[in-house]
Parts: sequence; structure tokens; C-alpha cells
Amino acid sequence: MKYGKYIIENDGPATWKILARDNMRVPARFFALKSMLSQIYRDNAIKQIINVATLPGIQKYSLAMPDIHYGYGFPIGGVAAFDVEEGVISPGGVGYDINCGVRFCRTNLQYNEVKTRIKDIITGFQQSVPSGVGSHNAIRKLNKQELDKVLHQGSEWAINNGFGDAADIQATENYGKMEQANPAKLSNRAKERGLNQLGSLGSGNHFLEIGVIDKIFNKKAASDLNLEENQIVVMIHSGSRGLGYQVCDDYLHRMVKIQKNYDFELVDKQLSSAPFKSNIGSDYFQAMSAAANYAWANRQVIMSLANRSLEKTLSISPKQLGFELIYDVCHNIAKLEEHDVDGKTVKLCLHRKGATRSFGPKREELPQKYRRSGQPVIIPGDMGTHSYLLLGTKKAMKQSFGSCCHGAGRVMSRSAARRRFNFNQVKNELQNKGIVSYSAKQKTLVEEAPDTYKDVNQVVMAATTAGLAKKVLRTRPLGVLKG
Amino acid sequence: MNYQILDHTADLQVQFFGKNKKELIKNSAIALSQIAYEIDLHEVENGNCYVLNITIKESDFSELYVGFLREILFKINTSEFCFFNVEFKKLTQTTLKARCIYDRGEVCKLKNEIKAVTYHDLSIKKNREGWSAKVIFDI
Repeated sequence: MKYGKYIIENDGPATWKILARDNMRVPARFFALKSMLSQIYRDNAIKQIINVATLPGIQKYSLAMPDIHYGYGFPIGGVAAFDVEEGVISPGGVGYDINCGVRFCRTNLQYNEVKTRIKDIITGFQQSVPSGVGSHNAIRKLNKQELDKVLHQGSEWAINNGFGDAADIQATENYGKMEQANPAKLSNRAKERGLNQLGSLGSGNHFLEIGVIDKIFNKKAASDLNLEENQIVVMIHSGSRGLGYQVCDDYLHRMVKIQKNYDFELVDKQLSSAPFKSNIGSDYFQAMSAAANYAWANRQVIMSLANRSLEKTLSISPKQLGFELIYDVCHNIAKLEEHDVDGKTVKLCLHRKGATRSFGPKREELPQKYRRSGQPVIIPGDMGTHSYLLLGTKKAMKQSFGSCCHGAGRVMSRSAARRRFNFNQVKNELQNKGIVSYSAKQKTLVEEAPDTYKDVNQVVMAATTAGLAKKVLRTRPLGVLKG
Repeated sequence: MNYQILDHTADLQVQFFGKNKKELIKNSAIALSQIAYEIDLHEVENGNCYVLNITIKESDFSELYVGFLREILFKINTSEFCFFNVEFKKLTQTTLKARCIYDRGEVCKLKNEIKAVTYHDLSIKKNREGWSAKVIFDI
């Protein structure tokens, strides 16, 4: 089939290849069910995968996951791997919310024990975790020395300061810390923005959600994760807040200014990049790593506040609650990883923008407890339907550099959502499904209405059909605090 | 109408208008304040006047324009400045020196987070009515 002048071929189950032409250095590949194609073609995201394929040092494919949709520069759901010797690093390929990510936590609670208390639980969350535009002051304001420690230590800082347990580190991607972090590479503006936002959700699609496991697909895998049907779980979606936005903005602007010094042509300024080994490329990687650490500390603090809030609301002990982090995944990040390229193991700078790592068994990066099974992959849906917990696969290592989708993916703009829905309609629809919702702003709830997203069931089916991950269980939302 | 919000699947695309480049820049600053605070201009025009001096030098006009928007957004997001006028001391293709007039306080509370200005599909055009710029913002 054709997309403008580009030829698209089926390349396996739920897998599509765009043949390289013109200035594309590699072909592009995206994952989708056939029934999803017309929607994907409509919003021009395909052009963005093609654009990424023109960047220097890109390996094998410019990729997009099944939740692909139109972004800026990279598509949302975009994955690209660059050779660290000859390739580039791109702030726009990571995005503004550096290390935006999701946590999945278990509890000992059963649905029947809490089904009448969901409103109280969401009220408790709302009082404990600042949410909404510019939210801040979840914990005392940090001074500059403390902020530098957060930027160095990530999750570890939060745990050392009483937010969570040492075991959480083992259940966090990269153990909650990028070693390459260097706070000296952040501007004063970026640091200033980070002083009082730690432990806050932020706005937009960020959330804190309580849900129930309503379907198990793989009993053994679920049991290994200490999860079962009717169990209450908590999910957290947030990132690096204003500090991360500022890091991206600072470095993107600097790279745009010096782009003419490099011998490659850009098809989109938002893809401005620098050689990974250049001074500015290295500076950005160190700054981005520090912002990633801030995001891990942020989610760690939010999780701890949510844990305490649940104990308080339900008047139960930590032991009774049994709150435990299953895994924390990041979906806006650049990382150094080794992958097979044409039979050789090559060190690559993996960019995932709106894509989750999905490492299969035996990868050294995984903690011992997940090294046999593959890592947990968390796919939150919209607030009215389901979310999924999957496991990474060996096939994903070959097909997508060990990557999978990060959510359902938007299909409708926020302004279109406001034209189509109103607050009461969305609130009632959620209530009819038994879902309690709270949003700092009524408008956010409308803009995040379930119908503004793709059907997460289809997106997950595309991912599993393509072999990017395998299903373990599904959850149903009971209550959600939106940003 | 000095600006119009266009449909964009994931983010915010805005088209700004002005009779000339100066007005385009001024209207962009005011429009960003209006979007961020969901506020009518007259609510702040009769309030306090504070001045932020901005100087930007870039290699061309589109960079200059983006540079200006970045500064305005930074102040909106971090200091809750609500801009309602821009007076130019100098404006060329590569240099902008301006006094940006703003209010702050109770009426200027952030309601919408505009994370950043992007370069993707950026267009600045002159037409029969004057100038317009289309910009995608990350939200």
C-alpha cells in the first residue's frame, strides 16, 4: 500500500515497514492491527516516523509503537536507536517531560473490602498529593544543595529521606538512577523550577489511580508477581515537572543555534540533534540523566504519600495494607543500551518518546527477580476503561530494541474534546461505570474523556500480536485523581 | 480575534495574528497570557503595571520570535506574570528589545500549563491582512 510516495509493506503480525527512500537512512517500522491503520494515517504521525529515519547514526529502523500519534519532531510512541560513535542525541526525541513514567503497586486489599470507600480514598489522595497546573509544596521546599542530591541520587534520595523502602529500588527501571547525571549541566532556571515541585503530579494526563485486577491472562506470571484477581492496585503517572521541561527547552534551543555546524540536514528543527560524542551532546545526556533522576525521586515521593494516605484513610497498618511497588517504567528517555545489530552487539543511545522499555528474559539490566520472566510493562488506558500489566519478551529485543507502547494514545485533540463533551457528561459516564474521579480542573476531566483515546484493548492486542510483550493481567479503574 | 486555537491531537497549536510584526509579537504575548490564565484582557488592564525588559538576539526572525515566546512562557509558568502590552525599543530581523507590561497577583493564577514552544511546523507568514504565526506548544 502507499502513503504518499512511500511504500508500506506488511512485515509480520501487526508489523508494517515503510521502505527507505530519499533521505531516509533506514526503513521505518510501526506496529498496528490492520483495523488501526486508517486512524494512524489520518493524523500525519507516519510522516514523523519517516523524518526520524533521516537522522545520522540511526540503526535498523525508525520505530513507532501501536499507540503512535502525532506529536512534534518524533511521533508519540517513537523509538530510535543511534550508534554512540557516529550517531546523535536529540532532546526532541526524549521530549519535554523527561522520564515521564508509570508505577504499578500492589496492596493486600481485596475489592470487597474497599468498594464503599473509594470516594474517601480519592479524597485522601487529593489531600496528600498536590495535583494540577503548577502543583507544588508536597514536601518542604528543597535548598540548592538538597536539589543537587536529588539530581544525583534519584529514587535513593527519596528513600533516604523517609519516602518508601529500599526494596523499591529493585522494582524501578534503572534502579531509579542514571549514573551519568551531572547537576552542573542544568541551568539555574531548570534548578529553580525543581525546588518546590518534588512529590507533585502536575497537570494534563498525569494521574494517581486506584484500580482492581479484573482479569488474569497468565496465572503463573501473575502469581510470581504476587498478584491475583480482585486485588486492589495503585498506579502513578508523573514525570520531572518544570525542571525537566526546562532542561529540554534549554538544550533544544542551544542545538538549534549550532545545527549549521553539523554536516547533516534537518527536515524538522524540532529534531535538532548533536553527535552523542560532542560536548553539547554529552552535556545534554548528563543534564537529561539528572532530570530523569528528579522524575524517579518525584514518583517515589508521590508513591510514599499515596501509601500513607491509604493507611490513614482506611485506618490500617502498613502490614495490613501490604503496599509494594511492582515496577516503575519510564517512557520519555534516552539511555545507553547494548543491542544486536546485524549479528554484532552494539552500544546504542536508545530514544523512547512515549514508549516503554520491554526487555525480555536474561537482560542484565533487569533485577534478579525479573531476569527470568522479563520486565513488567505497564500500559495505562484511559480513565474509563482498562489498564494492562504485561511482560517484556525476547522477540521485542529483535523487533523493537526491547520497546513497547506506553498507553492507549490520543485520537482526539483537547479542543475537539471540549467541543464534544461537557464536564457533567464525562463525570456521569465515569460514575455510571463506578469510577470516582477528581480533577483540579473540570476542563481536565473533559479533555481526558475516555473517548479521546484509542481503545487500549486494541493497542495491547497489537503489541502482543507483534510479540512486543505478553499479557499478564488487566485492571479496571475504581477511582482517579487527575492532574 | 488576535489568536485562534487549532486542532492538534496531543498538544496545543495556536495561530497568532497582527497587522505588522510588532503587533504579531505583542498579540502573541497577550494571547499566551490569556490562554494560560483563562483571563479577559480588561481584567488586568486596569490593574497594576510592572515592566519586564526583554532583549533577544538571534540569527533570523523565526528564531527571534521563538526566543521571545520562550521568555514570555518562562515568566508565565514560573512567576505568573500576565502580559497585557509590549512596547518596542528596537525590532529588526535579528534583534528585539522590548518593555513587556504585566500584572501579577490574584487574577493571574495559572489554569493551563503550556510546557514549551516547539519548532515543529512553525510558520510565520505575511498575508494581505498582515502577519500570522502558527506555533505548536507542548502541553
